[in-house]
Amino acid sequence: MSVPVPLRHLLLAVLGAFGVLLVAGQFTFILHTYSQDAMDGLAAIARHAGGTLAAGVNAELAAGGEPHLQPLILQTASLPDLAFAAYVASDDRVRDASVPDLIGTALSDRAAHLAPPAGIVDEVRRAQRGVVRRDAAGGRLWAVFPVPAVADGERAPPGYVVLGFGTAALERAALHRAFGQSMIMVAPLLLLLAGVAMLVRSLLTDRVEQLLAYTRSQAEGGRLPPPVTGGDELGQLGARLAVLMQSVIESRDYHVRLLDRMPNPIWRAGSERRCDYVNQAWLAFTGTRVERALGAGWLDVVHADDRERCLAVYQGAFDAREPFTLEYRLRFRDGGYHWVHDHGEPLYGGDGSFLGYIGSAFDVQGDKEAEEEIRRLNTELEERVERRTVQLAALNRELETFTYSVSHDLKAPLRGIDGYSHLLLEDHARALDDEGKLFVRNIRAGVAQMARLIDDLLAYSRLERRALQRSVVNLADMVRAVLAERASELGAENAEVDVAVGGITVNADREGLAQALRNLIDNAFKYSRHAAQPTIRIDAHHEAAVTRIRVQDNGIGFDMKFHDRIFDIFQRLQRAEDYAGTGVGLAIVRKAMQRMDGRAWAESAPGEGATFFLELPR
Amino acid sequence: MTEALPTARPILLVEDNPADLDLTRRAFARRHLLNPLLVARDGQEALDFIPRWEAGEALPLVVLLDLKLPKVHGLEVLRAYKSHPVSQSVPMVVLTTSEEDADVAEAYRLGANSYILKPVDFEKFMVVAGHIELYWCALNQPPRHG
Repeated sequence: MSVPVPLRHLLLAVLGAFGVLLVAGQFTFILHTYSQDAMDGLAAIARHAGGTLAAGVNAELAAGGEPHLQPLILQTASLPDLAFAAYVASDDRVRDASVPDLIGTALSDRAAHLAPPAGIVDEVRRAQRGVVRRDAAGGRLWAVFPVPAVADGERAPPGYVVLGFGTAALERAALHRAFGQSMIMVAPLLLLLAGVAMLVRSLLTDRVEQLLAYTRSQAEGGRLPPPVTGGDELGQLGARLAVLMQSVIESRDYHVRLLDRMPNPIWRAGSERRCDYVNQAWLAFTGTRVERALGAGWLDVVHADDRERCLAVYQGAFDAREPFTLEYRLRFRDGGYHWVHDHGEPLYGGDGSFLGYIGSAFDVQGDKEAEEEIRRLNTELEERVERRTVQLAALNRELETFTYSVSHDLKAPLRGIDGYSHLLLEDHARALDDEGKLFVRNIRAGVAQMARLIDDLLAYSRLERRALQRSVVNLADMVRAVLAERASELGAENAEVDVAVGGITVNADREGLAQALRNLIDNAFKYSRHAAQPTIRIDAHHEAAVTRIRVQDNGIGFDMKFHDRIFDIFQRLQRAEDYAGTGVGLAIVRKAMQRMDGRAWAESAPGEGATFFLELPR
Repeated sequence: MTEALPTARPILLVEDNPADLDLTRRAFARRHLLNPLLVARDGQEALDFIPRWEAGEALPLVVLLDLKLPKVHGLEVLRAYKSHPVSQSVPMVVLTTSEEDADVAEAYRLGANSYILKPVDFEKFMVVAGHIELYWCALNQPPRHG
């Protein structure tokens, strides 16, 4: 990521670069112009001097005799920047020169700065015309003019005069002048730069800096420095920014004020895990001052026994940046401790950075106390129930023993009555007339009824006394067994018995189910024996969650409005003389089914038989 | 000692109720029981037989024991008889009205040879008496003593 360059520096850099370019351009231009002018001037002089020297040499040679070239050559001495002047004959040897060393030498042997480039010489000889040319590399201006060949009749390459000028000095001079001129440019340019810089600074960058500082100060929570003013764009920006900042501060303060007004204790911790804000409710609850609450001070008001756990959960949540819930004892302003339910949520900034946690606590001391009370009441209740159960069990046992003994003690005299009344009828029939015999028979009937009643009562009470013994019962086997017990009676009345229970097995208390079936079959037989063809049908089938057994007869049936009564103990619908019974049978059926979590009910209509149902859970 | 003929050996009846006692006698009589009928009227009297047998008196063919007895409960008598060498092997038939599982279980646990219910109906009782006589006095081989 590149470091942002301050605008001011950028602007200055641009202006500076511009200035430098300008000066450089100016300098180059001037230098070039001066240099060119100087060269042009020198070239003109060279041309003139060269032509004149060539003509003079020519005239001297044409005049015949020994050419006096020296004076001509010496004339060139006054030329500015002249390095040397020389006459080179057609044999390439210097006949005369301003530098005596050159005379008699071949110029072409010389170093570059002492001889014109061969190209020029050839050109001159060829074109028979003067050439003035600069040799920038060698720092020379050469003027080479042809001199026609010596008139000795031979066609020889013409000679030439050569004037060599040094250009270095000229160039140095041009440089100095150009430099000087440029420097004159620099001063106003610098002033311009400085002026622009100051202007930019005061109007632009300073104010921008001010705006920056302004926003920065808000981010750091400092107080507001005066924003930028003015009518221009920056001023408007400054004004708008000030308004915005004001509303942000107000909203921030608003939320803080809002938090302060919340009735629950609220705390905030920064990303470094130290508490940096607590609301008024917190301070009021704990009775501390704000300085003590901040930082790590929150642990001080947590109950000593809960501190370790709280710290562990707190740190763990921070590590995972997960919400957390904590129950602990917080010191109340009266010095005691109240249980609180604290919930913390991680906070994130608008850019997704983790800022810390904010949490709120609820006083649950009341709840805890209520919980405790409930627990206490529950325990009391359980104890009471326990005591009652024990009492009840003892009572039950007493009742059982009572019922048992009573039944047996009631039976004993019955045996006596039955026995003697039988003997009476048998052994003393002669002593009894018909009425007497009737009386005795009635006595015996009464005894039989009483015996049955006692048996049924015993059976009923036994139902409760016996422990349930669940086992898998094969219905077909059980029904067959019960029918076998009644085989003689059923056979006597030619009752038709249909059994369709298939291979169904049920999970039931064997004794209880057998008793229920026995009673239902007894009833079915009892109430259908006067039918033309007494028919008893027993079937069973599984349903979704239960097994249903049906005992159906084609007997006298009953009105459904008595349905519930018939299952009550000692309730009878028929007269004893018509149909003997104790009124306990169906009560036993119902109780037996109830004990097995099943149920019993019936469907019937007077004169249309009855169907009794037994249902057992699977 | 020579074995007495089966018909000479007694049946011991342990029964407290006078009506039951009388009716039982009559029932056995109507079923033509030949064996003499010994009676113990309560649990203690029943226990008193043990020394008599020790002394050499003839052991009963079978003991018919009611459970609801005064002084000593029937089950106690059963335990005593079954733990005493002289009376151990005497067949004991519990003859009672109690159908209670506990009584039946305990009786067998103590060594009862049989458990029969006394019906209220006299006619049925006579049938039961007949069966008892047939089985225990005629069919069953009594233990050999000597």
